[in-house]
Amino acid sequence: MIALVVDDSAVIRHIANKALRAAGWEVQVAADGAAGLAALESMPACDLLLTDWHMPVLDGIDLVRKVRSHERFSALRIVMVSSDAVLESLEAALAAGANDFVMKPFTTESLTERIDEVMRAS
Amino acid sequence: MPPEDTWNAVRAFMQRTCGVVLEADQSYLLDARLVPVARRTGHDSVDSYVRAATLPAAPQDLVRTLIDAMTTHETFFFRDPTFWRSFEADILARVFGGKPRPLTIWSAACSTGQEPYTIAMALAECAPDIAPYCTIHATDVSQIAVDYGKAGVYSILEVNRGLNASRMLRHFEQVPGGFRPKPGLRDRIEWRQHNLLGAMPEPSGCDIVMCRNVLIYFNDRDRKEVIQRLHRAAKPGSGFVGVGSTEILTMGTSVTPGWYVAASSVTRAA
Repeated sequence: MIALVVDDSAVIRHIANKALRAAGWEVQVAADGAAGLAALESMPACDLLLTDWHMPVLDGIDLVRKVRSHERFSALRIVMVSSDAVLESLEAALAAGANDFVMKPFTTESLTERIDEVMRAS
Repeated sequence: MPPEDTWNAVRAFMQRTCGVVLEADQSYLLDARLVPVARRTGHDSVDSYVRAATLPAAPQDLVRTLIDAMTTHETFFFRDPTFWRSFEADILARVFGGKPRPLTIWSAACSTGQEPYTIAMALAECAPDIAPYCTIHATDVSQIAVDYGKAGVYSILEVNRGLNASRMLRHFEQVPGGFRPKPGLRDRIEWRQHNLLGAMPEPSGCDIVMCRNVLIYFNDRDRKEVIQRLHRAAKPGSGFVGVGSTEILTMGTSVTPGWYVAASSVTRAA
């Protein structure tokens, strides 16, 4: 299983990378939405996109919308991660096409459990 | 008192008041759990706090702080997905027997409330027509934990565990300090402090009784007594008793890991 982690925070990229690898994932990372989209388009396969919301160049919501506009990524599971801890943000993320939204702060246990649930639902 | 005497006083108190067994080698909990409580209650040492809280005529609010500090509150929404999948896909159908009807459910040892709210959410999702008419009894030996559950305000870390975005949007509202289950869920739950080994009677006539990840804290004799009380609370021969997926009961008929049909009759203690 292959995951792409997109976040402009090196700390979050590191935490998510470590948690996913410990759970058996192969992980690639990108530091902004545009780099994330480019990485996704060049990867032979990807099962999970874990993306922050507020990022430079291309933010997470726009990244999710662009990804969902491609038939090629219709089966890709997308989890947004953000410090926007308001219900309106959850609603916006799901409306854009994300499968789940994890609010910051999160524990690595919560993150991996929520990812497991998203993957099980697929 | 030397630290081991302080710890033994705490152990004796917990065994006496709620049957919880604490081991001799768990004395590290004195510092881990009781230093902040001692400070908060105005005591200059853990020893002074424990002496005051374990007196026969200790003030009840002080007693509650010790019970709360020494009981384990590890819980989260939809804890143990296997258990909840069985509840939704199997147990509810068995209870309804083809005719959905309002249910009475007891969440025994509910801790800070995530389990009773999970029950309410599961009912709202699986049986939306009858969910508003169900009653959920939520009890715990810790009054502080019960009060927390009744207030129902959960932090980001607490809701992150077990609640996906769809469930958050469907069942929760945003309030100062965090997130709270919507009134439709809160209204289903009746909260009270209850000691599983105490003199107060347990709920009765329950379609479902849940008591998960708690039996391990009792000695063999008390565990047997608690199990009898759980079965007595359920409808004989037709109610269900749910424990942790890896826990095994010696009463009732197993239907799926963690779930038992309640015993047809339970001898009441003289």
